[in-house]
Amino acid sequence: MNLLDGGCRAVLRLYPADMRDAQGPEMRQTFLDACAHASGRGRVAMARTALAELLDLLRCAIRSRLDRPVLPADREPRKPSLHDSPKGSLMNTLVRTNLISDFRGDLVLAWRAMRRTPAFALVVLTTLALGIGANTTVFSVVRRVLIAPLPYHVPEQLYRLYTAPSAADADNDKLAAVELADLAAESRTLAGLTHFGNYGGMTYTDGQTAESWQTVQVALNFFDVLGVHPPLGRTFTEDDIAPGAPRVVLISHPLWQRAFGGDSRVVGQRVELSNIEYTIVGVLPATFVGPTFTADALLPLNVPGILRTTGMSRGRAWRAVGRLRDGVTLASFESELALIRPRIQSHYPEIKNAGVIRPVPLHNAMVGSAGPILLLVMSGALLVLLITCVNIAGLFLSRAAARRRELGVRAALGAGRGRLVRQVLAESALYGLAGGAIGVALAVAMKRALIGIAGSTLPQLGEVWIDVGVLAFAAAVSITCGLAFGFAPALTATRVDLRDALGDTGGRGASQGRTGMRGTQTLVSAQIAFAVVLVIGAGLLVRTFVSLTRSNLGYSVDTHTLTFRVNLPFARYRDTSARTAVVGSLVERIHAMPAVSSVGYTAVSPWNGGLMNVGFRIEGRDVDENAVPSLRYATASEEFFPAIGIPLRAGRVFASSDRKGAPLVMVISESVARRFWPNANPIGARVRLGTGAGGDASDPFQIVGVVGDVRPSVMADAVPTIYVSERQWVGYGGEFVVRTSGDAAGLVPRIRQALHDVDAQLPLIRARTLHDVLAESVARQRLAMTLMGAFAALALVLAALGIYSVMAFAVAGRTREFGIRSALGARRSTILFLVLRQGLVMISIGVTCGVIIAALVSRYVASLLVGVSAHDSLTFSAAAILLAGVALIASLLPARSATRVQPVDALRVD
Amino acid sequence: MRAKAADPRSLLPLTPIVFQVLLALSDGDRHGYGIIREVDQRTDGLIVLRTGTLYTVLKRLLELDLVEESDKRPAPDEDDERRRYYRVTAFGKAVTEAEARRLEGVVALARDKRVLKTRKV
Repeated sequence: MNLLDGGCRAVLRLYPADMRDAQGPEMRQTFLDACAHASGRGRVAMARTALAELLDLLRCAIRSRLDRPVLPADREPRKPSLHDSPKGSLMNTLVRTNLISDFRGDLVLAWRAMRRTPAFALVVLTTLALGIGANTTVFSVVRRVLIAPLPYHVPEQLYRLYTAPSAADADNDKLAAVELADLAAESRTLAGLTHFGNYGGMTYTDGQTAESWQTVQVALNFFDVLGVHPPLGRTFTEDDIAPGAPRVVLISHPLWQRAFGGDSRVVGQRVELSNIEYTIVGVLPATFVGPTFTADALLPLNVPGILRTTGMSRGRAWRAVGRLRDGVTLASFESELALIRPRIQSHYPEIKNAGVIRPVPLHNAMVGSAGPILLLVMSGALLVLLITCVNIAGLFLSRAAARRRELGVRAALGAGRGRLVRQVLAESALYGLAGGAIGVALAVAMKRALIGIAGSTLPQLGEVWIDVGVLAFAAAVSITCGLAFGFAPALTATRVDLRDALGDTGGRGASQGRTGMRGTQTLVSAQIAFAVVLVIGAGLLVRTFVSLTRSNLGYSVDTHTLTFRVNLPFARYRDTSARTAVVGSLVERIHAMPAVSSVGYTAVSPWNGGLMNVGFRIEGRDVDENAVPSLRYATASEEFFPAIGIPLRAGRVFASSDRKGAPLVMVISESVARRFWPNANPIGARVRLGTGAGGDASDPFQIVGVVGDVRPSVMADAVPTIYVSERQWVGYGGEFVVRTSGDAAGLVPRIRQALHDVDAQLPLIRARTLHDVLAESVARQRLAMTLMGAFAALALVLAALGIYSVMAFAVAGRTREFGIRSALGARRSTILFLVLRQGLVMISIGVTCGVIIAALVSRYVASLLVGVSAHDSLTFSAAAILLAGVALIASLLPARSATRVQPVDALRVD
Repeated sequence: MRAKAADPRSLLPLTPIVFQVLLALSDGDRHGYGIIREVDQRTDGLIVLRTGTLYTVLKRLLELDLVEESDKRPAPDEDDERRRYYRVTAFGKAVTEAEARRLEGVVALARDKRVLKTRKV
């Protein structure tokens, strides 16, 4: 009864407010009375009554919305002509000109036709639902990621600032604090300029658990520039960065929900982060996403403090976002930047490319490479929809021939052609809407699967909704589809020649007219062509993916090697020896575990984006103080190179004797050796580090070994790197690499326990195998490949279905002909070939067109391809052969049945 | 809405459902579900009145002043505050009668044409 009551209330909502207010409660009571009364005659009777009641309520709701007459006397006296313009609403106009009621009649007819042919309906609805479902799902993501405005105030005014584009410089998206300060002071086009940086992991401990929070420091004006207001608490103020002020933190909405259960009393609460006490001053909005970062918590950045120190203020360490003033264009901002640049350059000669600032719309910066991939996937989905429509149009065309008789009768009874077209269109519209409804339901399920595949590879994917906009899209697509696949058949089917339809010849079910058949064949060829395009697209992406995963990163990417991160909080590990001890103790424990062959450790792993660069001065060589070469700098333990699988090319790797106090040693990568010692042996050379005049005051490092190069990701080039001994430069935590002879992932619980034993307050961060590291770096390509692969498979099935149904129908229509031929002594092979020839024509036209289209459009995806050309002949020919093969098999089945036609069957046809 | 001076015949012919609702109220006040039961019993289930239809009709009948809400309430223990009782107005009675007369004329015509052969008692 509760269910019924709910249903009743839902339907009552559809009534006009006045009627609902006046009669709603009473209607509910009456409805329940009727149901209760029927329940006396059993459950089935009650269900029937309830259903009938609900349908009646629904019907009357629509009637009352349409202002349909209740009493015959309500009807206005009929005007002599329908062209007189009646007064009242558009709805009334439609009602009075009978369009609506006629259309309702059409729908009733369509509904009956649908129920008469359940198998046909099932095929059509399934294909449509898949096509519309796929499109709705992909569109919901595209809309969220590409179309929806960023969750900031007037987001179009926001720009991310980059420096000069340079392949060698990994940090081309960061600027120095002094550059930003000068820009902010001099610019007249900027309404605001803010920056952020110092990405880090802080350890949150609450007595029982330790977990790592991703933190970012933001300038005080961050929230004003973006226009973000915390729904709870406050943003940062000057007081928060005053000397000796209590430390404060703003937490993200997801973290607030996860760690604090959404408790609003969290504001003012004290938390311990990396063993320092912080006060939570606010919670970020649920919709907040960092401009090109994700973070659990934000910390205030002491900009004046940074500007006071010469070293820090000149380090390119900050990512910046500027907001243009109202009415200022990007062009005027850029020309202003060009004016300011020389002044900044003259102020800070020590900064390479000082003042070179490139604004990029923040939306582009955030979406990044997800944009082209999503557009590709969306095009794939639309292509599938196109195939779906063509497929269904083919089915309708085939059936239209079978319905000539029915339509002929209706025409003979006086239905005009327009009336018949409308009836056929109503049917396809009904299919379109029904398929759309199922498709949307499917989209909800598909969306979950998509998020499963996509994970964190797409920005803001967590909040993809199937909302009104998406539903509107689905409805528009459904109706367009319905009309698209209905229109051609509607016109063909209704071109009824009465004699033909009812008379001798047509009545024998002998044939679909020549034009009709040609239409169907064209549609089948089109389907094959589109499927070829999709399969080629998917094939190119698969080849890209394979070449990416096979590409050599410079270290071994297998499942036997595990990596994880441990951060050592500054507050408790201020002492170098404490850091060395805890790392040593953990390495020792892991070494004792079964199947572990080596345990390496580095402060910055090759795949971590946040790289450190240092000046590189070779002793005995003159250097231009304004152009000190800068190289990526990392640390490594003795076993790091063997553990991660970076090969030793010359000399030696670090040894345990390379500790503090011992002579400083350095290992360089091959490309460093090639660049600075093109014809000499670098081993034994001495190097000073540092960008300042003359370099650091510390002792020079001696080069002891050369190792292989590594690439930070499959999409990037090798980065020249110098390594120093982890015992001589001790960082605050880093990445461990554990090589095993077995399943590395199984070690995680033991390692977690070992870490807990060493220091219970240290969380194990991002434990995964090196294989997973690679997989994460190609996640976007994998997403594109998976989706396009799925679409291609769907297209293949649809194309096969299309050619099968058309061939089967053609064979059925020619039963008489085959019977006569076989009676006249035609051999089975002759008949087989006769039928196959028809299929082969469609297939060859389709495949040829498909290959041509693919060749024309594939250059648009070239930017997404790696290691394979956009016109890769292998992929093209494989796709063509695959399609031709599948289509041939699909047409072979009907052809075989044609060979089994007996002469007597020809007589039975009628 | 009400056409006071309106001729009851201006509303004719009534639809069968409207006529049945008016008939059901002609011998006493009833609430919504009471009307449904009455119509169901008297037509032997031939006319099944559904909730939505009934209230759509009632709304229009109230607007046209053929029916009004009754202030008569049954014994409190049987009462439900959500239920409202309806009664037919004088104008409503006139319309009902006019429709009955019209039907009588139709029946007489059918008899003249020998469509109906015997007179039912």
